[in-house]
Formats: sequence, structure tokens, C-alpha cells
Amino acid sequence: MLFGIPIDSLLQSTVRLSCPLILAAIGGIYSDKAGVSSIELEALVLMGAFAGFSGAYFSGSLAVGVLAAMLSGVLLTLIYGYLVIVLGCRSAVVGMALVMFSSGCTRFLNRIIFGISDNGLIKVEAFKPIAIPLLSKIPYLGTILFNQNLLGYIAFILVFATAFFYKKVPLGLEIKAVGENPAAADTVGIPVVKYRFISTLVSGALASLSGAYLSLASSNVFVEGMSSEKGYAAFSIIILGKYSPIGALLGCLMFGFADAFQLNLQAHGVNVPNQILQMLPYIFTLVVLFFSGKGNAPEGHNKFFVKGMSR
Amino acid sequence: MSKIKEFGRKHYKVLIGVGLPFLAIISAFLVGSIILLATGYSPIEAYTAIFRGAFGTKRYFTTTLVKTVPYLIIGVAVAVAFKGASFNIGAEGQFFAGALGAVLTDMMIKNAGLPSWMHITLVLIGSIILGGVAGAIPGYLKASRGASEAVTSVMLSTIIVLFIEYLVNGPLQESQHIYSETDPISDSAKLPIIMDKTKLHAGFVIAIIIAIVFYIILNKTTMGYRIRACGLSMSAAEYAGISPELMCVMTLTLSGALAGLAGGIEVTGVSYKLGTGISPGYGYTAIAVALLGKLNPLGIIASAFLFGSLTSGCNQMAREIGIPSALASLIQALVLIFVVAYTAYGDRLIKKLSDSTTAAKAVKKTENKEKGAA
Repeated sequence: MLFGIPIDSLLQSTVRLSCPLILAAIGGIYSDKAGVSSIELEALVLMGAFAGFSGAYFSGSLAVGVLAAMLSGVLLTLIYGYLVIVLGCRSAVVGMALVMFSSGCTRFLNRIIFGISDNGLIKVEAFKPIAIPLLSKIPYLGTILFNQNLLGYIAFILVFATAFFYKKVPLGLEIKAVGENPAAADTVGIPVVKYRFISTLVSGALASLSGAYLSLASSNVFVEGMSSEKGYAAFSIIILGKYSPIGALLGCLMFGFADAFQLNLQAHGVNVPNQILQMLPYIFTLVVLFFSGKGNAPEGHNKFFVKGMSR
Repeated sequence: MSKIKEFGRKHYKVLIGVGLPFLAIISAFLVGSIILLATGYSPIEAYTAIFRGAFGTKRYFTTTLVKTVPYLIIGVAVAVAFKGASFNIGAEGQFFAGALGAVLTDMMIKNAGLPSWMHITLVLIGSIILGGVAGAIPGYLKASRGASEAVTSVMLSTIIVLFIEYLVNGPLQESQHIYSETDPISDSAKLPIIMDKTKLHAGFVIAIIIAIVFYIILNKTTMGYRIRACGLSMSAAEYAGISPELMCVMTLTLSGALAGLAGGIEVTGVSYKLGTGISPGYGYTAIAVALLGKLNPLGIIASAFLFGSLTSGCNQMAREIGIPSALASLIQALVLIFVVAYTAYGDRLIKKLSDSTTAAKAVKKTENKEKGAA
């Protein structure tokens, strides 16, 4: 018991609340590793939530919803990648522009397609938790870890798959070289711009799953602005986790814990105003950034590269 | 024809600088009409409704000017930070911090019986101070820890808005305890209305003066030079004897103070009280305003006016023909995306053209030399 909250239910909601962050952070890592800042994550999460919800609503199929979310992420990163990687625009500016665009676009379309007053009333059938036989029977751990929905399992699998990809797979190592030292990678014949672009598109497809998680798994509705800075949180967590997937996983769990803690406190009617509790995760991110600073970004991170620049 | 070409060759930098924003605006409206057509609306009908809603009557037009004020002041605030290489996305929170500063100051000096001009000045100073503090924190985090100010300022902004939400539902809630807002500020703290039977307040004049003053500060003073030096290259600034860390904290504080002042002016000129509804995201949209104005305070007057017209025009359009007013932020975001893209193209074009002009000059020089030798 922690402030009157049972530990196992606290940990269950910690894992549940971490999943969207993990998906966003892992997505972000793919572009960060290739040296492209992932500051546009917030846009991907919000657009993914809307596209995922609309896709599932009109087709009646969750799979179509998830694909729609991924497609929205790819389209957004197509614009982002073209402006940042090819034209060399400042990533923070383009990222901001895309966040504004997704916010305006989702509000506009939401009101046209679903109407204003119906917010929260139009629902889809959400992902259901799948208990893994045997494993879910382990006391405590079973209910905390092995009773997730499909997207939750995908999130955890992605963490380890990504770690493996950048440690062992030759292509992953080449992409890491692009992020660390684009000029050197270019000299040994690695197509820098192409790898950066593809990494960014992958990042878009994966990070938008985070949005799909919000509107199709942890809830079954779309609410305007439902990403609520989760993309920015993921961006900070990547830095905190020193750009490693496992580090990001730990960071997301910590952030998820802060969120679960405040939600549980609210639910248990603790005598602290709601708004103050809601600040906790954000204050947590600030503290994290204070201690992690720049982290150790890839050397060539956020540096514009033109082929033949080094010669 | 050759004269036009000659003119173009001579003034290509100005032409590109002025032409690109216009091209960006046109492109944004074109993409906007595609979205409107796809969703079953007539773009012509929508755009005429926006135009009518922004400029149709004296009342509509002054509403547009009132909406221009926060965009203009926060736009200048963002531009100052940007010139100093700091990306201040948290202007929204600084705006609210300033609004809070104004309300708190008014509470403190309400019964002092001050003359109105002094009352207003003190209230606005209160907003400048709290806004400045809100800007200084991301500045400090960046200077001392290298934390991305883009993220810290957004996080801080969310914290401030939540804090305001708490205040207006708790300790600062109006005396009836029904609405989530504060009591109205005292009458002597309200900015005077400068045009009869409209809502146009003195804040509009303040905003224009701010833009002009900051144009001068940024372009003609040592301080402006230092800010710009940091923006161009940190190491060069250090070499010139400027401490980049100190300048970073200073520019973000200055930027926050300005955004805070915008919040103070919104409270004393428009809403007369504090609630979370006083800003529909001015702080975020102002980033687009600053970039569209090419970070030049005089250009920002024009871009703020455009965004003010879009906001008030779209609100009116939503009332008249029922197209969601979110169309305004959609078009504003598109303008920003196109501005960013076209600026990149423009910079390339300028580089190419200036390379070719220098080449042409070099050729001429050698020709002249050869003539001289002969």
C-alpha cells in the first residue's frame, strides 16, 4: 500500500499508461538514431489517434484503424522528412508547424465528421486485454505484465526488437553510423539521405501507433487534443534514456508511474486539488530534463547533410 | 522586358523576401480549398464569409484589430527569442503567467486609490514580471543544463495553465463560486477604449509601439547586435566577448516578459478577468506569426494582422454558415508549413543568384583588366 493505494493496481495502471509513451518513444528513436530530431512526435500521436479512431469507426475493424493511424504517421513524416532532411529546415520549426497542423486538422475534421456535441458519445469497440496462458497466472507479475491488449504487447516487443536491430543487425549499425557521422558514412558509400528518410518514415509509422493506443485501446473515443503533450514527454524520455530503447522503456515506466500515481490519488479522493496532481507528470519531465540535459545524442544529430558536403 | 529582368536581378533579395510569404499564403488557401471541397463545402463561399467576417462592418473590423493585438505582441516575443537562437514554444504559458500577474497586482493595489494611468502601468508591470519569470526558467535550464528549451517551455506552459485552472476553481474563483474565472478587475485598471462603440482598446497602440521599438532594439542597438550574434553562431558570439549562456537566459526572459505583457493587455483590455478561456492558443499560433513576418517586428505587424483577420473572420463564418472555426488554425498551420518550405527554396535561389552575380562581376572585372592592359 502506498498512500492507501494497493501496489499491484498501481503497477497495472503504470504499465497501461506507459504503453502509448513506449510506442511514441520507440518510434522517435528510429529517427533520432539516424540523426533526425524526433521533435514532431506530438503531431504523430495526435494524428494517429484521430486517424486510428476514424479508420476503425468507418470500417468496423480495428486492424483498418491501426493501418490508418500508421498511414497518417507516414504521411506526416513524409512532409517532415522532406522539409528537414532534404531541404534542411529547422526541425523544431517544422515539428511545431506539424503539431499545429494536426491540432487544427483533427479539430476541423472531428467536428465535420463526428459533430461537436457528440464528443465522447461516438464509440468504437476497443482492443481487449489478452491474457497469455500460463504466464498470466504468475502471481502479481501475471496480471501486471501478461494481461495487456495487442498494442501493449507490440510496444514491449518493439523495445527489444529495436534494441536488437541497432546492436546486431548490419543495417541497424549502418543507420547508427549515419546518425553519428554522416560525412564518414557517406565516404564509405552509405546512402545518408535515403537512410535518414526511411528511418523517419518508420518512426512515423510506429509513433502513430501511440495515438491508436490512446483512441483504440486505453479508451474507445477520440477527444480533441487527446495526445496531451505525450509526444513531447516521449521526446524528453528518449533524451533521458540516452537514445537507447531499453533506457526509453525505463523512462516511460517512470513517467507512467508518475501518471498512475496521480490518477490513483485522484480516484482515492486525496485532499489535493486535481489540477495540482495533473501537473506531476509534467514536473517530472522537467526534473528529468534538468538531470539528463542533452544526454548523449548521436554526434550528427540534428545536423543537415548534403551529399558531397564533406569534400 | 529586359528592364524587368534588370530590376529583378538587382533587387532579387527583396523580391524573394516579400514574394515568398505571399506565395505561402496563396498556397495555404489553395490546400485549404482542397480540404473544404473534400469535406463538401464551397471554398468560395467559405472564403467570402471569412472576408466579410473580418472586414465587413466597423464592428467586425475592430474585432479583427483586437484579435491582432495578442498575435502581434507574442509574435514579437517569439521573434526576439528566435533571433537569439532560442525556440520559445511556451509563450502560451508565459501569456497566462502575465495574465495572472495582472490580476494579482490589481488585487494588491485595488484600494490604493491610484490614478488610472498609474494603476494600469503597475498592473502591466506585474504581468511583465511574471511572464519574464516564466521565460527565465527554460532559459536557465538551457543555459545551465543544455535541456532543449523547446520541450521545457512547452512542459512549463502546461504546468502554468493547470495552475491557473486550479486558481480559478479554488483560491481566486469569483465570489459567487459558479464560474471558473476570477472576479472582474477594478474599473481603473481597464485599458481605455480608443474608438467609440467598438471594443478597440489602447492595447492596440501599445502593440504597434512595441513592434517599432523592438525593430529598433533588434537592428540598431548593441543589445540587438548581441542577441543576433548569439543567433548566428554561439562560438562566434563567445569569441566576440558575449557570454552565450547569459544571453540565452536574457533573451528568453525578455521574450517571456513580452508574452506576459500580451496576457496583461488581454486581461485589462478584453476579458477584464482571468480564466483558462482567454486564449485560444495565441502562444502557439504566434510562432507562425513570427516566422511569416520573417522575425522582423515590422513584418510581424502584417502577419499578425493576417492571422487576426483569419481568426475573427473564421469565427464569424462559423456563426453564419456553420463551417467549423477550426478552419482558421488549419489554414494558419498550412501558411507556416509553406513559409518554412519556400524560405528554404528561397535561400537556395538567393545563394544561386548571388553566386551567379559574383561570377558575372568577376568576369566583368577581368574583362576590364584585359582592356586596361591592351
